Order: sequence, then structure tokens, then C-alpha cells
Amino acid sequence: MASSSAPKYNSHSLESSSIKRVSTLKDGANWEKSEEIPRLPGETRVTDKDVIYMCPFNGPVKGRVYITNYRLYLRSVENDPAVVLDVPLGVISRIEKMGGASSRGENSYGLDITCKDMRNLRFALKQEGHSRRDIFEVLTKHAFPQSHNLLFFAFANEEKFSENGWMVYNPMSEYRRQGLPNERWRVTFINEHYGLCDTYPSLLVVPYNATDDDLKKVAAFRSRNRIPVLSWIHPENQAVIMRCSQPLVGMSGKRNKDDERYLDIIREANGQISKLTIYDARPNVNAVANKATGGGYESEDAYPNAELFFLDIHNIHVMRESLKKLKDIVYPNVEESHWLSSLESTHWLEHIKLVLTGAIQVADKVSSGRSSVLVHCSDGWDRTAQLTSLAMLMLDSYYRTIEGFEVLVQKEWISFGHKFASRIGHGDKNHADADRSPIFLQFIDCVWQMSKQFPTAFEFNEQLLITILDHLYSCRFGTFLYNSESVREKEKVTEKTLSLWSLINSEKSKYTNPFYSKELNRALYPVASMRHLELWVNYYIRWNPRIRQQQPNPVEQRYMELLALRDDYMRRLEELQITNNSKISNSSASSTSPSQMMSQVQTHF
Amino acid sequence: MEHIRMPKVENVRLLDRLSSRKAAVGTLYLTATHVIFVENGSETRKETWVLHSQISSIEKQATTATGCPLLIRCKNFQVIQLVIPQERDCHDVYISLIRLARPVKYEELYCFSFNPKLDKEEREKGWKLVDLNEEYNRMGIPNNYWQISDVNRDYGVCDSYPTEVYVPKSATAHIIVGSSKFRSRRRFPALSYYCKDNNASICRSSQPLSGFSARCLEDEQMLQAIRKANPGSDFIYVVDTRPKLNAMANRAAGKGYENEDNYSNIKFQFIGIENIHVMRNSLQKMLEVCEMKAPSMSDFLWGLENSGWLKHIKAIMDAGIFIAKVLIEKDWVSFGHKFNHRYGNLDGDPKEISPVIDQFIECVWQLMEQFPCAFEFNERFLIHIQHHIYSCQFGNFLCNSQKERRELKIQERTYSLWAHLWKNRADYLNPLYRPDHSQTRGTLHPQMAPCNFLYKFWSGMYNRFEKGLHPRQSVTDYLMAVKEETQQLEEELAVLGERLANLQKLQLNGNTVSKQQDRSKELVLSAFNNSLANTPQEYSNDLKSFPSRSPSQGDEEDSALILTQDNLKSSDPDLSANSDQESGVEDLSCRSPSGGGCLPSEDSGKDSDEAVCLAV
Repeated sequence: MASSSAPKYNSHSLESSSIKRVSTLKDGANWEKSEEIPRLPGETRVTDKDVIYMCPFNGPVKGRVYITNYRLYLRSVENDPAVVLDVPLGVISRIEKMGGASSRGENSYGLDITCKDMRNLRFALKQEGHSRRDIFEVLTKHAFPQSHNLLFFAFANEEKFSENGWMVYNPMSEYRRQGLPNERWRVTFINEHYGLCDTYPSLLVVPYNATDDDLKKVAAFRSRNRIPVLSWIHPENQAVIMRCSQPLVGMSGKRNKDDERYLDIIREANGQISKLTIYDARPNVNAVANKATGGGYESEDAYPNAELFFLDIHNIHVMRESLKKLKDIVYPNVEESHWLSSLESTHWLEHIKLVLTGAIQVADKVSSGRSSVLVHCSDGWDRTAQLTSLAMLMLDSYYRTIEGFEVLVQKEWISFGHKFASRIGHGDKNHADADRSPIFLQFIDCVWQMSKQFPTAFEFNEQLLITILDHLYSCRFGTFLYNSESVREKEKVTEKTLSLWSLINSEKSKYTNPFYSKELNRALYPVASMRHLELWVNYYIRWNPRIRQQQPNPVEQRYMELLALRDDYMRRLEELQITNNSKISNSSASSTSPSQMMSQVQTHF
Repeated sequence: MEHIRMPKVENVRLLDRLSSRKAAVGTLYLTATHVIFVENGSETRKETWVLHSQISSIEKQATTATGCPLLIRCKNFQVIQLVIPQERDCHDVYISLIRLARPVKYEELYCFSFNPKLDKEEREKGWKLVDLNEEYNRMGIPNNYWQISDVNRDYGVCDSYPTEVYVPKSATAHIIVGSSKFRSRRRFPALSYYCKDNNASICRSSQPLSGFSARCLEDEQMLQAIRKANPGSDFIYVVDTRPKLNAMANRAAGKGYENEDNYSNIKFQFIGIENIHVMRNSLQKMLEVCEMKAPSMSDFLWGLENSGWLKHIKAIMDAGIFIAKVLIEKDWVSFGHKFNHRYGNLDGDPKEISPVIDQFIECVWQLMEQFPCAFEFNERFLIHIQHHIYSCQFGNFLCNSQKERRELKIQERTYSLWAHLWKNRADYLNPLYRPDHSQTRGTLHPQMAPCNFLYKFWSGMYNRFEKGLHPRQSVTDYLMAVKEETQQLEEELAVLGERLANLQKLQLNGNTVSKQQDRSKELVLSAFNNSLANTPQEYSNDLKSFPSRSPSQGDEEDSALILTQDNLKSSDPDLSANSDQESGVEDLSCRSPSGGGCLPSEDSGKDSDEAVCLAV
């Protein structure tokens, strides 16, 4: 009984063991079991070679590596069960040759591959005859298509899904869902051809009382023309979350009458409070330092009707270094002797805490403070996106559904020009580029922290978050490619590639949280305290075999079993009742029929 | 009572440690058993009760303009900060509490006055719930190799051992007595655990009085006898739980450890668990971290690491894993040393107090976290036991030995905690527990030595009075709800089946009674009331069917459980946030961090930590 229903729910677990991975990789796609390696439609074999995989956990493993235009696949030849590696080439950030033709020592000659998903791979090859040259070239070419004038695999991918993920986000219907436009807010097409701002979406929501001409003047005073536009409106108190970039104040403390008036119009639009709250995501000193390069922040003199708060979130470089340190202590081996102080020294959780704390303040100000808020950092595409999207996740339960979360990512991150291409470096060989930063990963981490604190509030599970992160790098889907909507349009991404949401929505049950209980309009305020922030072990340490032991999640599994058991009992009860009732009606003429009885009960609710 | 200099002080303020919320003003009462703070507010009159025996330290701080602060720290990790207007009153309360918190006689302890109104029979039944002999029977003892020995009747050999001890059959009284003379406090090797499947066992003893070279023939024979009691094994492991250095130092005092040369076929192993003094200091340091109002990331993680607490927990677990592993390898273990249980219920040397039992309880919790399906009980159960170890409300944890307990007639004069817990067992059940699960069957897998990062800070225990700090939703409660629902359905199924059978009978008799019909209709209705709730959430909206019953509901005499001002709404506040959490989920999380004036401030994000301290 209970156990019989278990397999059905097992699919919620992580694809943990290497063997299972092979069979579950089918997801959506189809590959012939008879083939040596899994292959997506449109995926072509390029080369293969005998290598020794230097597994950091089990030592050297003899195997054969297969390279396609999408993945690196390794299967061991001797081990039972077979050791399998299945790595999308998009995950690779750097390929290095280790050792030379003359280096001594066993397995000292080969390739060292650094990945974007917290692991490194090492392969040793035979020393004679430049054995690694061809594989190095093939790998470099297909892992870094951008640097070789090649297309991303997403453009070759011919997978078919039952759902079309590109239909998930339609800005107009999302704003309509929020009750927009209304008498105070209007939709403008001023950016239809990206003439006002090339990193913004074409459709924007702005105050009704600001003309398109006003917007153009404001754009001149905002870094990269990213003017304040509406992200979210509170359904009851009409307070709004606005996002933008820093004002171009500069050393001389320039002012701009149009910008000042525009912010005042925003403030007045909700008509409830005397001040507009501005959250500058940066530390105070950074904001000041930005004046030297022409940026800055809203001064009290120029904006007497606004209150400004700094949220102390550091810049992309600090975050990149922090994640690098985190990787050092968790891969390949977990720093055991001083675990806590090592973790502390990465500052990773501290950054997570600051981002969450900032988002809580934004959400709280809008919800209980009934004040409209304006959020910006420097350019308004990194920290700003983190803050607005997290605050929206806290305030609007729609974004906590699978579809709503897709909309949130699509809207606040993808359409508003978070520079995915620069931050992730899709297909780019310049691994040391200063533009790389794990900003989106941090956001997903914050979402995970929230889901830990509110296990019933999210329709999706941890698996969805991990899948999103996997395909953030994989380049199998067009979803995260390129820096802005305008480039995506130029590259015809929606026509020529598939959306990640197609994969997810075609297999929703896999990503559904069994504990989810639908509630409307409940604000969630997570506790951003050190006592409750945890390292996301199932993501950051997932390559460590010791972590795999924890899967599948016994709590979820048990819950599903209990639910199944309950359903079974309910069904049997119903059957019994029907028999029971027919017995009664047989024995007495005045009895009610079962169906009548049920409807009575239902109206009671 | 003569120790109470000041039974009542008015206009006392109770500060909330973690929030900047306004302090509650009220009256402080000292009774023979409790410190009670009653808030003034006419409607609420919230009460905070603290048992004297829970008090671990009282600190009088420098007088300020507003009064004289008094800080009371409890053994269950509650911290209470009072401000008393008059310095003189404060001093009197201080002196009284110092005396009250350190009773000199067992008879002053609360369990001797605690009366749950059970009759004699029930009381006896309570004490019989846990029967050690039965436990040995469960393990298959006595058998061909092990027997019960009466050598310690009247505590003639060792006064800190029970009268009935299990020893190898081949160990004669002569050997046992001889061995006991060679062991510290005469605690000779005796059986703790026996594994039926492979004859392996765990024995325990104190350190040998070996000094630098002393030997004892009987002790050597004793260990030999233990080895022979497992015919399949050639040697036994002797595990000394101390760091080697400590054991060596003990030699100077005529004590020490077993010399492998003198004992045939032993394998000696040190496991570096630090002594009670180190543990006491470590806990102290960790609690300091817990008490921090808004720890920064580095305060918290560095503080936690520097306290070494989790390191000690891991050391103990590693020892346990080692021993368990050895058991599986069909070998023998004889404990070098016992774990002392030190609670400090009576006034005595503060250096003898140590949180060994807290550590044991935490080890169990860490295991539960790693094997969520393997334990029949839940976190609440552990927290409740921890509370009662110090509450002195029940006689179980009193005294240092069975001998003392018998002399004091504990079983006749006090009640057993196990009976109390048993009565409310539904609240302590782990909904994930499944006797058939692989995790449950037999041994937990010790070969997977858990890594450091799997050891977590147990906020549910050490910060359990700071309710605002806790996660707002508990998966366990959801599981409980569905489990309970499933059980109810099962019962209804049985009832309906029975009805059906009866109806069939009635029909055969051609005899229908309309009354019965009505009753069956009711039944159908009640069944559907439940079945319509498809999610736990729906369930929780229907409070009647949700298992929100707290352990001591309808159990007023249990008021000795500490009550904090925040949680009088639940009848058993001790259960951390869990018991009343579910019904409160909605409003709890809807509270805004920055208060906004009209909101109830307790539990709000602002109180709970630094999360929102910046706002306005």
C-alpha cells in the first residue's frame, strides 16, 4: 500500500546517483537506449577518447569520454556500477592543459577543466603523441562558441515539448494581473524600438501624469537611461515598487528638475504618504565614490520629499570573490577542521543576509509602511533586480507558484536587462572577465532560504531551483542567453531556441512541492538572522558523495505516502458508504441517496 | 518559607532581551517553588513562571536610574531580565533566590511537593513503565553467556551501581569483587548492551587503579571473562573516552588505563572526549553566543566555532560511531569510563556540574536530523526531557545512584516522568517514523561518518524561548495532521465496516430501526467533514480536527513548566514554537517586521533579529 505508491513520487528527488542520472536524463528529450550516450535531438557527436578521470572522491577512473556539440559525457570502463559524468559544455568556464609531454609522475599529463557549477574536472591522458591536442581543441571550440563565431547549442536544439515556455510571460497580461493600467499608471510604448533605453524592455509602466517627453528628459539624468519605472503595485494600498539606475549627480552635485518632478509624481501617485522612500542598494561609501564617475545618489536638498536609505550590499566583484572562497572550502573536499570559521571567512552567508534584509525592508515599507519605494544601485540591473524580485516574492503569492516564479524571473531579471551574458559568460573563453558575478545565483539562494523558512508557501521545490541554475549555464535553452531584450530580439531567440520553462512546465510534477498550500495575498517575512540562514548544502556541496546519501528527501517522501494512504482510505470509505447507503435504502424507503448526501456536505463548506 | 525574604515586589519590569519592545511592568512573587512574574495589564495579566530548580545563575547588575537589574539564567536556556525599582528589594530577592535555587536537602526539591493527583496504584504503574530487567530481556539476557549477579545486593561492592548487574557467567563473585577493588569508585565492568545477533556487547566501567605499574589478577580475569562471553571473538576493544593526555595524568593519582601487555587480547583505544570542565566552559561560551541580541555573521559563526560545542558533540558522536562499528564487526567493547551525569540539583561544588546529559540529548537530536525516519519520538520529546531533568518535578533524575534513590524512597514519594510523557505520547510522536523503514531496521549506518557541515546549531533547544527567532512553519505539524487524518479515516473505515455487517444482519432479520439510520447518516457526515480537507492548510482552518492539542492540556498541575509572557495562549509553552504554531501561521507571518504601530509586536521580524533594524 504505502510503499507501492512510493516510486511515483521518487522523481522529486535529486538526480543523485550517477547511474540513475543516465536513465532520468531523458527529461523531455528522447535518446535511444541503444546508443552509447544520451543525445538530445539536434545534438551531434564530435569525438571520443579513452581517458582517466581523476575523480577527487574515488581516485583515478578509467573511462571513455564523448564530446558532442552540447555535452561532455564520460563512462567508466571498469567500475561497477559505472561512473558517469554528464556535463553540458556550457558549464565550462576554463580549460587548461596540465603537465607537459615530458612531465613525470602518473597521470600528470592531461586537461584541467574548471566549471561554473562549483566543481572541477581533471582528465589524464596518455603522454605520447600529443594525445590531448585534438580533444582540447574540440572542447575549447564547443565550450566557447561565442569566441569561435559559432552558435550556442540552443540554436541547434530540436527538442519538442508539450508546453511552450515562451508563452509564459506576456508583460501586458502580467501588468493586467496587477490591475494596471489604472487611473494613476499608464503603459507606454516609448521604448518600443529600444530608443529610450536599450537595456529596458519595450513595454514600460509609468505614472499617468508623466508624459513621454518627461520620460526622455529624466532618462538623460539616469545612468544608461534606466529611468524609474513600475515593477509592482500593492493591490490594496496602491503603493508601488519602482526600479531605476543611479542619478547622474557627479562631483559637482548636478540637479535635474525633471527627475525631481518625476519622483514627486511617483510619490503622489499613491496619495497616502508624504514621503517617497528610496533604497540605494549600495554601501554609503560606494555611492559616494560613484560621484567621481558621474553617478551618485539623490541628495536631501534636491529631493526634500524623499527619504534615502543605503542597504550595504556589495558590488559584483565582492560577490565573485566570495563565491570563489566558498568553492575553495567545499570542493573537492569540505574544510573539516574549522568549518564554521572557514564558512564565515567566505562571507557568502553574510551577503545573502544583506540581500534578504534589504528585500524585507522594501517589502515591509510597501506593505505596512504604505509608502511607494524606489530601488536602485549603480546601473539597476544587479542588486536592484535582486531586491525588487525578492520583495515581490515576499508580497505576492502569485510569484510563489511555478508559473508565477517563471514570470518573476522573466520580468525582473530577463526583460529588465540583468546582463546574463556578461555575468555568466555564456560561451566566452575569457574566464577571468571582471564582468562575471554570481548575482543570479545569490537570488536563487535567497529564494531557497525563504522556502526553508516557509516550507508550505512555495508551489515549487528545491529541484526547480537547482534545475534553473543548471540551465543558467547549460546553453541548452535560450532563456538566459544575451544581456537584454533588444539583443534577444535581434538574435530572434524566441523563434530559434526553446525556453527553459517548456522543459519545466511539461513535467511540472517533478518540480512541485508536496507541502504547498495555496494562499492568497499573504506577505512572507523571512527571518534574516544568522541563526536561520544555512549554507545550501544540496547545491554547493552536491558533488560530494557524502551529500548524495541524503537523497531522496525522506520527509517529502513520507508526506506523499501518507497523502496516498489517505486518498486510498477516502476512496474505500466512499465505497463503503455507498454500499452502506444502498443497504439502508434497501431496508428503508425514506433514505437519502449517497449523492444527495455528498452535496449536502459540500455546501456546508 | 524561611528563605523568602521578600515574597512580593511591585512595579518590577521584565525586559525583552531580543527586542526593543517596551518592558512589561508587573509584580514579582517568590513562592516556595517558583518565581512568578505577573504583568499588570488588566486583560492579559500574563504570567511568567520559573521553577527555582531551573535557575542556574542569578546576577545582580549595577543599579541604574530606572532601578536595579537582576538577570536570571535558567538551565533550560531561558534568560529573564528584571528591573526592580528599589535596590534594597532587589538585594532581598537576590539573596532569597540564591538560597532557593540551591536547596541543601533533597526534600526541598519540587518533586516532593508536586502532586499530580494520581492514586498510589497509578504512581506505581508509572514507575514500572521502564523496567531495566525487561530491557535486558529484550536484548536476550540472561542467556548462556551472561547472567544477573547479586554480588552488589545492599550495594556491598559498588554504591553507585544498581543492585542487579549483568556480568559474564564465568565471572565469579571473587573475580568481580577483586576487579572492583582495582577500579575507581569500585565501578567494575558490567554489561550495558548486548547484541543478540552476533553476541557482541558493550560493557562499562570506571578507570583502573593502575598507576604506573600496578596490576590486578582478578581484573585481568574479568576482562578475559567478558571476551569469552563472545565465543566468536579473539579480543575485546577497550575504549577510553578521555584524551590520552588526561588518562596519563591520572596515573600520577594512582589511576590510569589498561596496559595492553597485562591484559591478554585487548585492543586499547583512546577517544578524545574532553572532561566535564571543558564541556561546562564550552556550553557557557555557546550560550553567550545564543544570548547575543543581534549577532553579526562573524560573531555567530566564530562564536559557535570557538565555543567548540559542536566539535565536542562530533567527538562524542564519533566515539559512538566507533563503538557501534566495532559491535557490527562482532567484537567486544569494554568502556574505559562512564559518562557521569551531573545536574547540580543540590547545592554543591559548582565544578562538578557539567552538561553531559545536554550533550547526550543533543547527540540524539543530531542523529534525528540525519536519520529523520529512524526515531519514534520527535524534537519536542527531547526538549521536554531536558526541561524535566532540571525541573526536579519528577523523581527520575534525582540523586547520584540507585542506592541514594532507594534510601530516599523516591518511588514512593515522587512521580515518574515517563508516566507523564506516556500520557501525552501523541505529542511526542515523529510522524516520519516508520518501523519498516531501512533507516529504522537495526543499526543506523555508522560508516557514513557525518561531516562537520551536517552538524547544526540547535536553535530549537538553545534559543527556544526566543519565539520570534523560529521558522514560521513546521513541516512536522503538517505531517502530523495528515497522519492523524489518515488514522481517523482508518478508524472510520473500521466503524463503517462494522455498521455494514450489522446492517446486513439486521436486514436478514427484516427488521429496520429508524434510529440507527439516523446515526449512520451522522457518521457519513463526520467522515466527509474530514475528507474534504485536502491540504493540511485546510485542515488547520478547522481547528477542531487539527492536532493542536498541547501535551499538558487538561493537565493543569503541569503549570510548573516555565511560562513566558509570550505564550500563555498555549498551555504548554515549553514546546518551543511548535505546538501552537500551525494555527498561528497565518497571523504570525503576516506581521510586518517594522511593526507599524497597530501590530502585535511579539514574534515579529524586528524583534527576532537584526533583519529589519534599519527601517525608519
